Amino acid sequence: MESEWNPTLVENILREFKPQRMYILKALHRLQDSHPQQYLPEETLDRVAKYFNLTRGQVFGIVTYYTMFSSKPREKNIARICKSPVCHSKGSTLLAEKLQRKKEILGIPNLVIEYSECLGQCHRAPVMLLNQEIQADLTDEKLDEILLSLKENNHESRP
Amino acid sequence: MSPDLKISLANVGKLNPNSLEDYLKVGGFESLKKTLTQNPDEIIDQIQLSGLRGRGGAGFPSGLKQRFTYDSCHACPERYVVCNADEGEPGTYKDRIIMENDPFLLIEGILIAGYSIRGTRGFVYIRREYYDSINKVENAIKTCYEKGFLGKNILGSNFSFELETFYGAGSYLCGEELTLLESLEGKRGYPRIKPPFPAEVGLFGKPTLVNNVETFSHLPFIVREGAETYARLGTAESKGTKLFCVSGNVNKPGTYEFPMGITLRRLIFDVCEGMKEGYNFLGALLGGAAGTFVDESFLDVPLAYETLKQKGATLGSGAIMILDNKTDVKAMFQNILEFFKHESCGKCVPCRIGTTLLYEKSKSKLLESDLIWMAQEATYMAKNSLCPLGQSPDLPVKSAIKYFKNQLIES
Ligand SMILES: Cc1cc2nc3c(=O)[nH]c(=O)nc-3n(C[C@H](O)[C@H](O)[C@H](O)COP(=O)(O)O)c2cc1C
Ligand code: SF4
Ligand code: FES
Repeated sequence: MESEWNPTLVENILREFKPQRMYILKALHRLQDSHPQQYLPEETLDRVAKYFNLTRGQVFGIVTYYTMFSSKPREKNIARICKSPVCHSKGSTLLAEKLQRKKEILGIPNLVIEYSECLGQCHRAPVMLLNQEIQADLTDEKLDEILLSLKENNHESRP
Repeated sequence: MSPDLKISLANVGKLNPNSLEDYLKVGGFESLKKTLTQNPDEIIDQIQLSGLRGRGGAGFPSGLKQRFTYDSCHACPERYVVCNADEGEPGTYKDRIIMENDPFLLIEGILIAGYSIRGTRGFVYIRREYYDSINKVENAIKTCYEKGFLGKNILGSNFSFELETFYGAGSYLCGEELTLLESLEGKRGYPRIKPPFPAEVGLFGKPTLVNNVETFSHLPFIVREGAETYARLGTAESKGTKLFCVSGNVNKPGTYEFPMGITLRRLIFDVCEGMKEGYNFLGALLGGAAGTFVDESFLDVPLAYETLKQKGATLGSGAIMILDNKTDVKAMFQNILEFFKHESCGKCVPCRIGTTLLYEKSKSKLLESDLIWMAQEATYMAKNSLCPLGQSPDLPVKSAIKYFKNQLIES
């Protein structure tokens, strides 16, 4: 797959941060958010290494350590389903499997499903983080609604 | 004093969290003004007298930590304050509520702490999943700079202090204070060896005060109302109020603030209006994944550091996950062990291998001999692991075996 990296955008984002190592996580988040496939292409990481005066290996080490970063293409939308004890007890892993199946049946290409640890919404379990928004008290019906709205918004940019 | 007295949640729902004016109207930043007229040592004395202990889980006396941070190096030109807003302990959702609803309160608390240790810079490390918290805190910081509550010569005083936010990226271990400092420095989250403590060698080697969001949120109250008033709340060794995060099949799960010492019975059957229809109380997991399972014999134990400790349990972060007659305790047990396996950084062998072995074992049909082995493995890990994460399975494993042995073996 083409890595679709945009050098000007990457440079502009990097310049928002002081070239000090402590800003690297913030910069990586911004860069990943700006990518339509929600990931950090190799070319971007090379630019990051240069900007923060680190080796490629150091930057890769960081990207692979933190679970929210991806060096492989994902999709425009990311659903992170909580699998910590409260949500798990309320069937969140089952819901994740259902979501995967429904996604396939409904033919929604722009969604990737991942797991997350406790999202701090345990009183509304089961819960997921869809892009930057919490979806709580999940049920079968609610998953359908969410998927359909994703399908409708397929061509619009994410919030 | 009214039993309804709130400290961390005093303003929740009463003000617009994006409005400094709203915060000022309810007396916001009056404590900071009072602080700026006092000697920093007096502030530390007040915090020590109040009996406040850290709300992040370990319960270390907050005033003492401030004292250590200042005393570790009087000549140092720079000292830092780090606010731990990583809130990763499963079942815990309290710091988020403060940040989303009253971000100026957090900033005021950080400023008071910064002044007391004669600090120069502060850092709020927020987990990235908390988008709303990040927005609210960043907006509040921006406003504070504009209105002279942050930056050079705050409110015309000699005190200058810079504050900015940083983000986590999905690592539980980064909530551990020394690992958090590594992450803040822009590195992988591998823990540092303790000692030295952050108070001595912290962020970039500077003396650093690390406290939890809820801990900071208590400082304005203590300065305003006085240490004695604060110390009148709570129990003998656990002063003030605490946020309790109740989840599970109760009618009104949520985060509630009460003086330390409230019982589980009151929390569940009064505050949360009892168990949902069709569910009976079985027990709870107190303090998160790194916490302790308890059974119904804990219903009347005051929730406080010393009273729970006497019974071998822990308050931890304040997470209270309720188990009921329909809870699959073994599945929950397994879930927790999977969590530790997933979050182990793999740097040291006892934890890397131990968390995997415990998880794999938990997936099989368990015999009494397996449980004995698991308890031994947890002990071994606790003794030989490099950092507190490897010590964490000890409490949940042993308490689950102690109180829910039948459930673990039966299924
Ligand atoms: C594995 C692990 C994870 C932790 N996660 C958090 C956390 O998310 N938030 C927090 O405030 N403290 C967390 N702590 C506790 C911190 O190490 C530290 O004790 C705390 O930030 C000190 O603040 P306090 O004295 O105000 O409680 C964690 C500890 C461990 C061992
Ligand atoms: S105890 Fe676990 S988390 Fe801590 S250093 Fe060792 S492997 Fe890493
Ligand atoms: S356990 Fe799922 S949000 Fe806390």
